Amino acid sequence: MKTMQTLLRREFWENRGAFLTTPIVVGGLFILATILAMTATSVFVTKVNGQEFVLSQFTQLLADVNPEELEYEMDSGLLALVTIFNLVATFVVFFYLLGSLYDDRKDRSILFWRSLPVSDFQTAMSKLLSAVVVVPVLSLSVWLATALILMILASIPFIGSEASALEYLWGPADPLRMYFSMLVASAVQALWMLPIWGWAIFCSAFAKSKPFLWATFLPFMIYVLEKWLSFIRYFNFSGDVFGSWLSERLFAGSVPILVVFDGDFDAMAATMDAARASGFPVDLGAILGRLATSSMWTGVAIGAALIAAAIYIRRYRDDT
Amino acid sequence: MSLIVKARGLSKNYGKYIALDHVDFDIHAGRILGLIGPNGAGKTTLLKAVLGLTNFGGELEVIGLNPLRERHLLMQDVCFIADVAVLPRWMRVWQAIDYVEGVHPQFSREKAMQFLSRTKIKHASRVKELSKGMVAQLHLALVMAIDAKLLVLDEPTLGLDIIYRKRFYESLLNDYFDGERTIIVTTHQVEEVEHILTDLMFIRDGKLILDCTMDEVSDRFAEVMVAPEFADDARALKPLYERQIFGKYVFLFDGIDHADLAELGELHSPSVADLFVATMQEGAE
Repeated sequence: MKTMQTLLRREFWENRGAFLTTPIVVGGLFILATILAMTATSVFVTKVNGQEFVLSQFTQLLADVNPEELEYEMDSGLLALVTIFNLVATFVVFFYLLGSLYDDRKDRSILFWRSLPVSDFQTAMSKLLSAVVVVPVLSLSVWLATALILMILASIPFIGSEASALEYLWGPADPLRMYFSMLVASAVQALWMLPIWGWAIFCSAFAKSKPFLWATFLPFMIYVLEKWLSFIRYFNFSGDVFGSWLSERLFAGSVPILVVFDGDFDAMAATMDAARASGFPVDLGAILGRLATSSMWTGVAIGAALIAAAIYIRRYRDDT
Repeated sequence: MSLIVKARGLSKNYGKYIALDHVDFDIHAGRILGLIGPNGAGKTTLLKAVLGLTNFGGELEVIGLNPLRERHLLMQDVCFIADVAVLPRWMRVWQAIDYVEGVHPQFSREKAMQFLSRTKIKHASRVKELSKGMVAQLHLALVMAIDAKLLVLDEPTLGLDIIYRKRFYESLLNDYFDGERTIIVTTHQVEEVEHILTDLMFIRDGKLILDCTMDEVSDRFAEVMVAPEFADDARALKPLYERQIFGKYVFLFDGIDHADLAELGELHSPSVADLFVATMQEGAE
């Protein structure tokens, strides 16, 4: 237990920039853009559909929206913002995992790490846990702080008007519910992406150099190969087995909210409509429902096998 | 005396290249063993096998464990410094201490702090900001603060200047070695470790060509400085090696009665470096 804590701290020390600074920069950019927009344009005059409204008129407009609709719209705004953080986190995880069992081989510090009583299994687990727990939690926490700062900024124009920021902003928007929904959804996304993360870990343990090229070029070659095979009519092969599997996996796994996607855009639209009707844009039931699908668990099995192979290579191949 | 390392028929080849050729040896507790050999002789391969960093043929037990399969258990009792500057460059000194403390049950933070307080190393520095010598000092401080049974040093002072090298071995001997621990060291600077060794192993082309204690070395080997007129008498005793110095001949003998040799000329104990050169040349002929 103490060992795993230490290993996770070590990952954080080494990757602080990717894990923490990156979401802080993203949040900072949004805050900066908001401040610029507020100071550059008069905040008391808002343009809606080309029409100018002074704030009192704007709040009048808000008041006309029914309260449930307003809640949904506010939370959708939060969802749009968190999705950007999620997407950045997905890229962070991919590149982090590609280097996870490679960088220390390249700079030979592997000799130091392996001189201590830590098994290669523990090492690999600390990398995986950092990717699927530490990165999402840090990213979502920075998002939450950003959302709260943005909401405070958005409250400023309400000062001095008869409209209340509590009524139109802080009441309808529910950042905490979004935060916890996204924590759960991120866990489902992590399981869904396990074959991809396993592949990245495998490449980082396997590649003697350039793990990024291995990780991207090999799947691309398989894709090209199956396309090419499909032109040879003799095989009677559709040519899109791996390609469609991979693109669906990556699309649904890119951000937690899309994990409901199972290849059927109409079904996804129906899920989103149902969420709108419920007043909150994230349908956790539908997201958790992915855990009951076989494609989820075959993916988990593939991911686990790739990670096991990576640990085997790390342990038995002489890389020093 | 307990056995720390036991090797029987230890072998390793990289493709057709034989790095270790059925080597047998025992290393007992409380010894400081110098493993000496030319580049590519198999020293590093031997150490890597002992540390569980490479697979091997034959039998090998280190503190009763199979190093390859049980490396993470073995590392509770074995420490090693593989090269200078393998500490991760991004790490800060305090992080290195926290890390080793967190994963190693036998690590003493107080000892590490005590060693570091004698250096100029600052706790907030990153490894990449330290000089080569300071990185070696830090690594040694971390390793010496671990209560281990076996310490393996593979060229620990490579690239360090003479002051650091001297200090390195001094603190190793004064602060770490307690007569119960075991140290294996390889180095090209034989003359610097010679006085601290209790045992000596020469390796060449994957084979052990000498494996004995330093006491046995001085019993077995002798160097005699012989005037030119007695040189042929000396050669008759089949010296391992001869060289000329100031017009006199120096012969190195293996296993000849020291009393007989004393009649030929002035008798010395050979230095490990001279012995090494002599034995290496003998096999090369």
